[in-house]
Amino acid sequence: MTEERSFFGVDVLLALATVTLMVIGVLFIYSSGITSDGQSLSREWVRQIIWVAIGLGLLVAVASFDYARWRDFAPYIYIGVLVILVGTLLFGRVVNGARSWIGIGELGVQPSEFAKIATILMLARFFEQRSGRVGELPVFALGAGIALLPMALILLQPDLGTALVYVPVFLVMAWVAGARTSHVLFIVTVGLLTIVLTVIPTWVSDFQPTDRLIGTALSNTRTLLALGSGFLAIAAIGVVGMAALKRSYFRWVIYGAAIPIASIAGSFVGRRVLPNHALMRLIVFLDPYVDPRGAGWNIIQSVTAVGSGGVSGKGWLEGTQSHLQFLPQQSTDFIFSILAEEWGFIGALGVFACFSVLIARGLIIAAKAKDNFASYVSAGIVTMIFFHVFVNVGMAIGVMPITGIPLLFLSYGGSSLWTALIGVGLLMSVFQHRYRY
Amino acid sequence: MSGMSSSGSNTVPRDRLIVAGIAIGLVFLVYLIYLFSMQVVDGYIYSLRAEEVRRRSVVIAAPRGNIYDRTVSTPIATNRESFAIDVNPAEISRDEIDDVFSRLSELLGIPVADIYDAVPQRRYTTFQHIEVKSEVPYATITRIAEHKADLPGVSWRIKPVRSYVDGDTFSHVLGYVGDITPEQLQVLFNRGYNARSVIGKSGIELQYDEVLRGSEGQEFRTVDAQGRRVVGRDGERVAPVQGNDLVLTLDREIQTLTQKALGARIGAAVVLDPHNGEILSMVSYPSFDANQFYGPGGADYFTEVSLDPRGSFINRTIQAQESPASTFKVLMSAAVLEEDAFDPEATVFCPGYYMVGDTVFRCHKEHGHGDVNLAVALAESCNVYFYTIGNEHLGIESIIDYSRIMGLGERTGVDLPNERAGLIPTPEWKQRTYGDGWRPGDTVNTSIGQGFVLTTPLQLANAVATIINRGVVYRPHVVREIRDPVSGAIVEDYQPEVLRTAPVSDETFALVQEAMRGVALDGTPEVVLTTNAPVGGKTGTSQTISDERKHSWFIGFAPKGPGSSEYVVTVVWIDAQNEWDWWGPYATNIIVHGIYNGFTYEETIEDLRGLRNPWLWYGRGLPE
Repeated sequence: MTEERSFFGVDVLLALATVTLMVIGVLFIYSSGITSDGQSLSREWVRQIIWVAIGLGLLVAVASFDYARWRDFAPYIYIGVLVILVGTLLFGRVVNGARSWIGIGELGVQPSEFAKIATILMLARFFEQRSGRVGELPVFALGAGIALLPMALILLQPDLGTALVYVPVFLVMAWVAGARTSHVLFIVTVGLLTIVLTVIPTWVSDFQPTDRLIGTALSNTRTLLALGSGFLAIAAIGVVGMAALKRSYFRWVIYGAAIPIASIAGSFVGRRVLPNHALMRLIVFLDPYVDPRGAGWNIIQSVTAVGSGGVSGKGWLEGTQSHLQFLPQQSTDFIFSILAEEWGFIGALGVFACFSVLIARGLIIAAKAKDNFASYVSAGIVTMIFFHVFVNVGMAIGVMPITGIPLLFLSYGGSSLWTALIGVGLLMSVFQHRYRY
Repeated sequence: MSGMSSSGSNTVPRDRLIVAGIAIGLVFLVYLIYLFSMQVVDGYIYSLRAEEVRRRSVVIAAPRGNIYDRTVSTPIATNRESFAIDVNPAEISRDEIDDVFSRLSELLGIPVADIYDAVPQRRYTTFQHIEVKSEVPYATITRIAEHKADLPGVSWRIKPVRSYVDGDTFSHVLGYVGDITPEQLQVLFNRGYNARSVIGKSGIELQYDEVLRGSEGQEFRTVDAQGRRVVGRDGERVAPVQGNDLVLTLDREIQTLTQKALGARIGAAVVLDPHNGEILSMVSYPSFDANQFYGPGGADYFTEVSLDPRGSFINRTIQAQESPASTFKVLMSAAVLEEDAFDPEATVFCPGYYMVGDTVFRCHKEHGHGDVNLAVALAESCNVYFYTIGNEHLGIESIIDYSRIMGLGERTGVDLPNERAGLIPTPEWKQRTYGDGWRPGDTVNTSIGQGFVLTTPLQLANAVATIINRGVVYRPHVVREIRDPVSGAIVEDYQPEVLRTAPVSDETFALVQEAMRGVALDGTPEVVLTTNAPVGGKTGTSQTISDERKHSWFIGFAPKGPGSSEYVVTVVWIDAQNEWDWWGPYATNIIVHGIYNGFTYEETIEDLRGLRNPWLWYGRGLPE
């Protein structure tokens, strides 16, 4: 008790960082509701306060609940969430182009948010039961399947941003649970390469970048097939070599060849599956000025708002780009842009400090957890929180494509806030029960 | 329950958690460094960009400079405050737009179709003020203001409108203004004009546009993403600078006198001060009233004026080129005297015709003038005398030389646009144009100012000025001073500019002047020139294809007043399209009498009636 800064068994730093972030969130949701004329018309901030209150209730409930019970409920929760996700696909309400809402009348939630927690719990249970065997490919693949199921359902909504969160959550959890680094890196490399190969044809044909030689080559289906066949041949040699000579370096030859093969195959699938607007977002991220009034507008306006904030910002409620409505979706996707404009670099530093505390505490809790389940859950939650910061802030400062995922604790919206708070509640529960055997 | 089996200890590898922590820390660090470079290092770039996207400038029109006559009393061109109604379609919701337009059309009293034409559907979402009507009276603005709530997106602004105080009196000199055309804008874009600029289209308004226009003001407004103006966030305002005032050399009294003296006859009249090149009056008929271009029905009136077959926009004092006819004999006289080509006292016998080879050139007096010397030949306007002189004693080269000395065949350089050069034919010119050599008959025709010779009224006025001023020729001009509109201080003073000094002796000019005076006393126009002013001059009657219709010229001079040693030069030209009434000398009589005695037109007519030969006016249709 003495080495931890805790009070009544509560992790004070974690609680403080969480509350600080939520207060900042409400402040800037209020700010985002100020119109050009300086009037506050939006009531979003009032609702956010209500969400915070309910969310804190959830946090306390989850925190005081022994997390060990979640291990038992995890499969039911997971299956229940999958059912709800299917239901959402069938009966859900379309918001911002994705059928992601379910509920009655005005009240509704985004099941895809809560599904993250359910998946984290399920994965933690799965990996704990197979401790020491996660390095085996079938176990790793099965774990990937657990993450892929909800992810696929969310992709069908389609909500690319939310679905993407499952990838790092699964990878980090698996890795912490003992998965091979080569397995994890394989997925990371294939994923990135697939995205690049998917985007390049549209980019080259629609926007004609100056450096198009490689791009044109990589958009040609035949070239890609030829490349794929080449790598397949290398892989075949590797298989034969390994069978004949039993040298382990042939394994790496196969590994190396499999990456481009999987990426090329993935890009063919991606091009069929990904809707045009998603491709456009990825391209615009590469060069927002290809379409400054359309798809590039968000990035340009956000970067302008952030950059013009300077060291200490324009002052709360004094942001020009945000209040003159240049900045889109200020209370949700671009809450960080408003903050950076009005509070400047110092404000951004503060937000990063809070998230750093949260993540550091989460990792320490993971390290000190009394069992693997608790540790994996903590790692999953930390990854989820981090990935949201990584993508959302990256998008606001123009280094990430626009994927529309919220900045947890700050962005307006009940579902994502409650998910984050349940996550923190789980961390606290792990923290509280760390010495109990 | 199954989970219990594997629980109980934490076997998570610490190093992997530490690596994860470090990785996350590195990402955050990179982000913070990136943010630092954006916000702290490059912050000013983004601030500028932010400023740029939210600041819109609105142009405030600068009032054009006033134009005064030489007395600088009341302006002859000024600005009248007027209102324009703008519609901003983006401020009107789609389902309201029809209602708003119909209400507005009712209030403005214009067909609703006009508003739909001005605001086409494709611009419904653009945030832009589109002018639907200008010249809106104040009372209408008041009514629109009362209904402001029912008229979203409708606004008004002050739009200065050019006002020409004397109606059509100065029209050709002043010109008029209008919206800049895309073609003009392309050329003038770098000189500070924009798509909404009002620009001089002709006359002084065109020639001195950059002096008169001033510089537009700008009001910087903060706008939101839709381009809506944000109240309470207005930035600075750069006040418009009124254009400089112009003081003309023209005299309102003389201009009015000249205009009325010319009357409703297609033609032109100009009064020039030979001592400095100042143009005292400049009149062309038919004229136009530019004020009506801007009012209701302005477009129709403009079209009407533009399509007038008589050419109302032509400033005939500098743009009409006609044969100078017998007025050319003055120039011939100067040449004869200066070249000593023929004794002025010697006579030539005029049988009423002149033969060159087989061709007969007629004198206007069928039975001939008999023996005539130079003075008589000029007074009686004997063609045969000048045929003989030109063809046998001077030769075409000499005639060309003296035409050049008198400034014919080239632009006078008056400070008005689109002046024409006239034509003094040369053998080379004829060869080039007609592919035909110069013939003696051409010299004969040129000798009496017929054939190919073309002059503008202002060129002839400048030629007379050369004689009066003993060879010193000033550039004729209409602008005297540029003045600051606020302080009235003179910004630029146009000093008389000597165009050239004719290499002709004073004696010759004195003799020619005397001979011109003789024309008025004893010559053809004697009966008409009833004024008490010691006027001199020369008539000119040029034939056209129809014998019934002739151009009537009179070039003249007279002292500015009794006992004055300063002169004015007058040139009147009446187009052959008019009913023939030999109006050149009549108009000159009125103009000179008015100037000499300081009379208005009405006083002049009154006074002339009391002078000798009152019977001459009967049946002449002299305007009241």
